[in-house]
Amino acid sequence: MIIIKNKIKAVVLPLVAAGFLLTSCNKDVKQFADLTPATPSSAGSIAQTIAATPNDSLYYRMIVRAGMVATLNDSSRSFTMLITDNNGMKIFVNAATGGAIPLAAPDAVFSAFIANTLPAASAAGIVQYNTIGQKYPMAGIPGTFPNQPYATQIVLDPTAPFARMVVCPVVKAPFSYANNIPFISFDEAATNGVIHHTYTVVAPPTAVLRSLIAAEPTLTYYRTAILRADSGQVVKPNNDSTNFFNYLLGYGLTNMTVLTPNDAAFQTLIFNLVYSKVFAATGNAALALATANGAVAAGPAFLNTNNVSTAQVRGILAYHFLASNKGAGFQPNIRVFAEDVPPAIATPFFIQTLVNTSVATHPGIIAVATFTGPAVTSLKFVGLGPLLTPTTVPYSGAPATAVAFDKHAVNGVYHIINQVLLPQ
Amino acid sequence: MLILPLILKTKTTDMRKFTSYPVILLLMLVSTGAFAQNVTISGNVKNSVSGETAGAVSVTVKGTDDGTFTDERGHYSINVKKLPATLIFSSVGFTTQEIAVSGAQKVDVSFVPRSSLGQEVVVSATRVATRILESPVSIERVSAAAIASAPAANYYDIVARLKGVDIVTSSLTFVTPTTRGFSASGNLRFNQLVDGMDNQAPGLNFSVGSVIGVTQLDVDNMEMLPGASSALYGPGGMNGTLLINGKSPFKYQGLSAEIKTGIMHTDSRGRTPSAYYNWSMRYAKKISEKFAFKITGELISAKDWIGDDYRNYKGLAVSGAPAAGTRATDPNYNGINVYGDETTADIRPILAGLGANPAYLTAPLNVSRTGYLEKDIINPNTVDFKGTASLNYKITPKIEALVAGYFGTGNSTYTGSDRYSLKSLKIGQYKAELNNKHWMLRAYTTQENAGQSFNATVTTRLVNEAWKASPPKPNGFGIVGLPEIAASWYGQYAIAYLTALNSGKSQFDANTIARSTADVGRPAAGSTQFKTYFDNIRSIPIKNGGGLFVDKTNLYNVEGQLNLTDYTSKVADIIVGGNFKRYVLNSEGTLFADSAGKIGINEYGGYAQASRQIVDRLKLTISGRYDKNENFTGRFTPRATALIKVAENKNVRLSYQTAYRFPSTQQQYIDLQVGGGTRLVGGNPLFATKYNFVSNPTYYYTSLQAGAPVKVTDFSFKPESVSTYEVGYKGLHMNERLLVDLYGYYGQYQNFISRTVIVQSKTAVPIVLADTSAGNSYSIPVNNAEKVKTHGFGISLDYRLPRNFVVSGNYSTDEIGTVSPGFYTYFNSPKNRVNVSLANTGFGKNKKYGFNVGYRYQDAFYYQGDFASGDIPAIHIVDAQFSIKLPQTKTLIKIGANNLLNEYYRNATGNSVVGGLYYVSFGFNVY
Repeated sequence: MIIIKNKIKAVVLPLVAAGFLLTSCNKDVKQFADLTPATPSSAGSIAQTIAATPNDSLYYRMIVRAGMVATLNDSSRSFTMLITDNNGMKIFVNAATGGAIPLAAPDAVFSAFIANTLPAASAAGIVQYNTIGQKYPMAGIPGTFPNQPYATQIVLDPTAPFARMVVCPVVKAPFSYANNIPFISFDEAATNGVIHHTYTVVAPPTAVLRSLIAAEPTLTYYRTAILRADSGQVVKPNNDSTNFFNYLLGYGLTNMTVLTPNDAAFQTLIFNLVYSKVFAATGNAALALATANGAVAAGPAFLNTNNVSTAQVRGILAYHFLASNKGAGFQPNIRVFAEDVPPAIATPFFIQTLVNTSVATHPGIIAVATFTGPAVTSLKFVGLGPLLTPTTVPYSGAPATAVAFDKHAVNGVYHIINQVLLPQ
Repeated sequence: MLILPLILKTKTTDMRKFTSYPVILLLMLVSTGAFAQNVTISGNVKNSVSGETAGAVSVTVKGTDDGTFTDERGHYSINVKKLPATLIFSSVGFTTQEIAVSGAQKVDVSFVPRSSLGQEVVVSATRVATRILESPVSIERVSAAAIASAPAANYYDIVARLKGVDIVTSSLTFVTPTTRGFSASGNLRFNQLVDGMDNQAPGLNFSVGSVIGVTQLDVDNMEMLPGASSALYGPGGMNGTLLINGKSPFKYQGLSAEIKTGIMHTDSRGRTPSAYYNWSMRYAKKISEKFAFKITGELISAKDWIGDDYRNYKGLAVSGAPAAGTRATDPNYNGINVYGDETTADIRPILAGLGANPAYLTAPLNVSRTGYLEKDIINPNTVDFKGTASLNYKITPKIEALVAGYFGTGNSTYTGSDRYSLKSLKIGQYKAELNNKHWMLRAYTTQENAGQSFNATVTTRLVNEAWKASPPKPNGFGIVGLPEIAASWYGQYAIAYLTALNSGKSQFDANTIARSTADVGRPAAGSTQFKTYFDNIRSIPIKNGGGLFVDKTNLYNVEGQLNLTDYTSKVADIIVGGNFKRYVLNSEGTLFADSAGKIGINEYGGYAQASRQIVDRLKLTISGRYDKNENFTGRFTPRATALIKVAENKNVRLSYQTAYRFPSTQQQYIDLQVGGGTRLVGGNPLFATKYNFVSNPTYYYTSLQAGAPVKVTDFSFKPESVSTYEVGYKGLHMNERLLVDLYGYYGQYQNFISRTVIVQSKTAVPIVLADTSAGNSYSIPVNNAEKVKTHGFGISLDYRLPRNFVVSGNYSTDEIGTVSPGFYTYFNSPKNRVNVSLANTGFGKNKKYGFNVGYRYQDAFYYQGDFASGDIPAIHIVDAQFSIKLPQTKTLIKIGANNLLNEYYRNATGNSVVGGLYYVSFGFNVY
């Protein structure tokens, strides 16, 4: 019996022991190391980097005035900063004060102005506008025409916080720009982003196109034309009013470029239209001249008469809204600064317009800029208008010159031109 | 009453003509006593060691076919036509005794237990009773006694301890065994026959033996044939057949009952500790020598094991794999046992519409919906009720008729292409059978009703949609504007994401903010709101936009067998048989392509087997079977075996076996959109028409992934077959104390059936690479031209120690040959398995103590499944039980544990993780 018990023990005990030993090591399925995002150190942040650069002290002063230090030190976020050095700040202050603070004033004067006189809200607006979410080294900013909008920290609509005012940098040779301000240096690294320097402050626009155009003394015909073109339009389902030019110009979430012919341009157009029409009907040059002069004398109200159709006006205006197709059809979705337009080249540079929404193959308009250094000194556009008497040359054969350009608004930019462009 | 026996005697010869069971029953009631004649010998049989009564002991009159069994009290009574006579008392585990009787006397027997190895008789190997030592093919047998003493809470768990067996545990009550590889929750290459009936749910295509079938106390034995077995058991059984046989009410009588109570989840890993109940009973009564009946029932109730693999899953179905990333770190996280997060979309179109910087749009931004954990959506209460009843009537002493019903219902969890909650699943099997020593006729039907079962993945995805729609939906004017974007989950996500990025937040933070924004108001798991959504959707049929599958598929089968040996024994022992089978698919369009009406599938087959003792030491058996399915050409499967007796109780077996299977009903007709977005379709030609595979061509998903689309041109679909060569040995050694069984096999599969994913353009335009994820994807069954080769071997040793101790061990290995990259075989078998146990069924005073300690080990392996693929770690498990018999009251008290050390394991990716189950049972008349 003892022998048997011993045998049993000899078998059982190792068996059980082995079982216990082995079963103590059942493994669960292989788990993977989780992906923990690295949090950069707050040392060397954007704000700290700017603060540590003497030649950026005035901009840093503006950051302080804007109350943006903490934001720009936030290591959990990353930004691309468009700042200007002290020289650029002086140019900005000099302009902002109407020359009251001369460029040669001591730095302390500029600093004091920024710290005490510049409204904090204005400072905040500027710094927020100069702050792009995420880090974009210059190599990551495209050079495609016209530029690339980047969302800044200015929220346009609190109910839709994703919708932000944009700044539009473009990288190209020989000069790169933020809107129409050239870069002077770039890719200064910070732990939570990158800093690019511009020639002067890239200031945010403060009003939408409609407001700015409404204040333009030379655009009375244009404003009348807008209303005439919108006449007869109806609001589309879902309260969609984007078929109204006037609505578009006031809609903050667009990103448009509008060529606005001035009053003289409209008067020339009206004169020629009336003259050619009367002359064609009567063959009487004197009558045609008198009638044309009368039409011009009628002022903008002429555009509301039956002498021109709503469709004609709408077509002409559509030709003045630059557009591109980003996959959802042609839309007024590009913000073309004069600096984005190439200089004269052998092959004309065409830009599509809203006419392409109905005539997809329309070549658009030709745009040419003339540069002096980084600055544009001349901006011209050529349309494809028909031959009109009495000039017997293509009406738009002569380029329309921008008498004022880079007029910047929240929702776009407009250039006042001295000719009305005709699409056909 | 005097007249009735006379009437019955004249009617008896015509009884076999009756097919009307009420008539039979009526006759059974009035015929009691018809055999009460001649001399009656009665007495009691007791265990000579323990003194307890011995039930189910065979008592036969030597030289005749007359016999009976002792009842649960060990009492017997037998009519002897002629004296003197010799009574033979026999039972497995006891020494057979012969007692001469010369008059009407009381004969009590002191039955001597005998610990023996290799003495069992098996039937399934050749369809005729054969000593297990002389089986010409590999076979494993588990007796009722072994079940009673096994360290297992449920008899299905015992199968896992047999050599060469792999188990896939979908849930507590859903266990699927297989042999020789290719294990899966719904294993189509392994037959399970319960009392002769195919136990596979005809529509759901998984064997439901662990859900319904024979109750634990009614299991007489289990026989498992590893390897191909079509030659005798028909299509299926490519890799093996498990036969579970219930107890005869003539043999096993009286009331048996067992109350088992346990505890699970003891460490609160997935749930708080909860109770396990397993109550079973069996009552059988021999009313007379002609009529007996039995009723059985078993109820299991517990909080189920949980699928808690929350790893991220990347890729499509079987081709995917667990990957790094969590809900917090991967916006497109798709947790394996997390449901609802299969909904995924690239949010770039929405971002572009919101004017996002193109820098945000350069790479796909796939985002998944937030899902719910399995434990949050699947009812934790698993309940399984099985009930069986049978009426057995001996038309003559040699012909037994029986009608029997097997019914099961309950809740369980199953893993197929998704995880399915089987809720109120009801399956009934009903049969009528005539048995004779030389022939058998059987007709049965399987009636399936999926009840309230639902697809967990689909349902949860739809809950998410019901709460908040994923994509921006056009308004009444067909316009998607900002209001519509802002009302959708993905729109809210994109807005918040863009806002965060524009404010300088990191991608990580932006995704976190976006998800928390989009999930504001999300119904919390377990909340009334969630339950309302969930209960509503799971009760809507899949075809109507819900998660319910309505499966009421039925199977009808008629079969028979005739043993011609009495007429052919001079040449060979011959048996012939055949069957006719009809499936009636009825899912009302929720599972099969049967929206227009039920689909019928007919199959028929026949087999023959001839065996002959060529010389004293060599017995040859050849068999063959022909089967035909109306959707496929007929197939013949031969088998040849040789049994070589190398010495007494030492036999070498050689076999060549073939098997094949017709594609399952699902592989023929399934039409089901699954959680990942892929549509499972069958191989029937109707699908090529239904989904315009010709006019809008399809391309292999893998070819699209590789950037070189390959068009699918061949939609032919054939049965799969396997040929297996096997050699084995079974013998007793060391003075019959050691039983050695070993085998080795090599198998080769042709037309191997697997699935592949094909993709079609959604707009019927030429395919583009973007369609890899954006197109219509279908998973279709295909035959692979490449032959699949498997091989393996196994050995088991059972050593009988003194004092009733038995130490056993087995080792087995299965391997698959090299297959081409990208060919998913679903082999799913560990290379090495080991089982070791030490047991004693009676030691100590009156041998009333027993114990069994077992250790199981299997290698790590890579599991391939349509739900998920991934590494399965090695498994080590200790099971144990200790029991005490109380002979005076015929009770057995048992304390035991499955997975004693509570070492959690899983045996398939995405399946439940199994922990320790500790139980105490009180059984009456269970041994």
